Amino acid sequence: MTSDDLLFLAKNVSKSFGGLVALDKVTVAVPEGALTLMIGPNGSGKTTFLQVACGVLKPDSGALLFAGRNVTGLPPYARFRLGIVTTFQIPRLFPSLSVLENVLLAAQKVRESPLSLLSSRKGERDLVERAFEVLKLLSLDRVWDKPARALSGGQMKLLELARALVSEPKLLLLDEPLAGVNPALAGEIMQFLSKVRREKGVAMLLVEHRLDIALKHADYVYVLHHGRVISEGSPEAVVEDPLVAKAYLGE
Amino acid sequence: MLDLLVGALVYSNLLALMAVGLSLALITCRVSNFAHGDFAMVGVYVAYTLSVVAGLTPYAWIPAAFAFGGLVSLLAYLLVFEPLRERTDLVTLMVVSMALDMVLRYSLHVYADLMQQWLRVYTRLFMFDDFLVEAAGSRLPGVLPASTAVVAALLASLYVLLYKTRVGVAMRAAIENPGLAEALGVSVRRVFALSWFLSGALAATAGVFLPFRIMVSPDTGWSMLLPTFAAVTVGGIGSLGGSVLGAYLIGFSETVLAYQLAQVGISTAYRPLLTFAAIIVTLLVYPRGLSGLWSGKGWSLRRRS
Repeated sequence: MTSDDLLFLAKNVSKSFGGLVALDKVTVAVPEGALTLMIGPNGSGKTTFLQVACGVLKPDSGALLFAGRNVTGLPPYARFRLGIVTTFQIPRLFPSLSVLENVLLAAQKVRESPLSLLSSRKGERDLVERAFEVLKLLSLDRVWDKPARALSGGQMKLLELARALVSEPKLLLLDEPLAGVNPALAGEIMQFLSKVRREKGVAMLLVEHRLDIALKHADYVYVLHHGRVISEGSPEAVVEDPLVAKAYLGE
Repeated sequence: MLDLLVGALVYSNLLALMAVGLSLALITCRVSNFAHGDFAMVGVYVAYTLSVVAGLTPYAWIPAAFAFGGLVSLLAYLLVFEPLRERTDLVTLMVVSMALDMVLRYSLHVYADLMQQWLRVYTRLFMFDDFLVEAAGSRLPGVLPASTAVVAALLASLYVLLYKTRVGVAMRAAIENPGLAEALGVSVRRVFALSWFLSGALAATAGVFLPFRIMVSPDTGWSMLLPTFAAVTVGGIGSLGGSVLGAYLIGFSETVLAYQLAQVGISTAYRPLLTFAAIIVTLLVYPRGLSGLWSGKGWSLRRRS
């Protein structure tokens, strides 16, 4: 891997909470258009890593580079504008806004100002069309006018995904998109993610427990244990690594 | 009897604009804004000054009052409440708004003195001349159709703004969860600034109608606060639709009950008692207010975090 096709690089990132070391010099690279998977037992620091990557948490040391730019000090919304978009383990939606409105919110690249009221209706129609396309892809188009709080748990996950996609991200940070979703739907979501990656070239960093479904779609895998990367490589190589089995199964 | 109904309706129209404006300040920055009445008085003095200087009825200057009142409110947000947002508690914000009220109110007093010297007109305890309209065999004051039309138009526009435009979606998202909206690239500061502009603009518009009914002074805004807070409380704190309903409920019951009291020989000076009673009873019996009855559905914006 040359540094040219590297989209995102977390270099020697450390983070502790009081005496607890959650991340210990973690280095993770996501190349352009790649689906990178991060796995590890509970409490290994995966979610902490994502929170550092999306800007919710500040690392104690280390640096984050995105498209060659140092983004370590940028707040979440600034990273969002650069194209780093996060979905959460528990979907974070606006419950009283409709499904379409939840998606539209992320579609507006134009900044809201009183003047944008006067902007062309056509621009607005294009946004709505784009939002509907994404909703259709995730079969949410039939519930477009329902408030988000009326959706099922699975649909909420899909809606958060739709909102992430419509913002035209360059890097998607996905925190357990398959958790709490039935196996059939989980398979579909994974299929969908790899299709988006193929067709739109969106790079993804996926944190996931469901290895049975996620592993075969990944290009590269990092294994975290006690806040350290204990193994990395192709999915096949990582599964064979005795250290990984030990981390998951104990001694 | 007709007079009573006309009075109640005009008063309720005023309260509706005031209450929606107050709610906008409440749901964005959680400020129980005691300076809200002063925004109304800014509207009064803008319309009065322009109608004395440039002629025309004060009705013609409603757009100017709207814009100027909005501007004052916008500055209050940018200079005072935005720097305090998410940094302090509700009580502090309320006390800050009381301080702002004093600054604005005494600035208005200074302005009233200057205006009196400058234009040689009474600038305290004055009223506006109204026109009369013939309707159904009786003569009605023009402020009735005028205020009803303006309230209907403004509330309808506000609804369209909030529910049919991109800015509206961003505003509602920022109100519901400012942190998440910010993370999705919404500039919470800008959409809240717009809300505050509207808050003051609606109050200033309400203010222009006030001198058609009663004599006004810079302190009149302060006395409008009680029924405005009552309307917002009875309607359900944080709900714009509830504020409108609450305004008509308070407006009508206050007017009609005060009239009934007068009939049995009790002074109308006790009128505020009825309004306070409405607040107390609502908070004791059903603190969610009218909008709690349809909570979450329809025109109800509130912060859920």
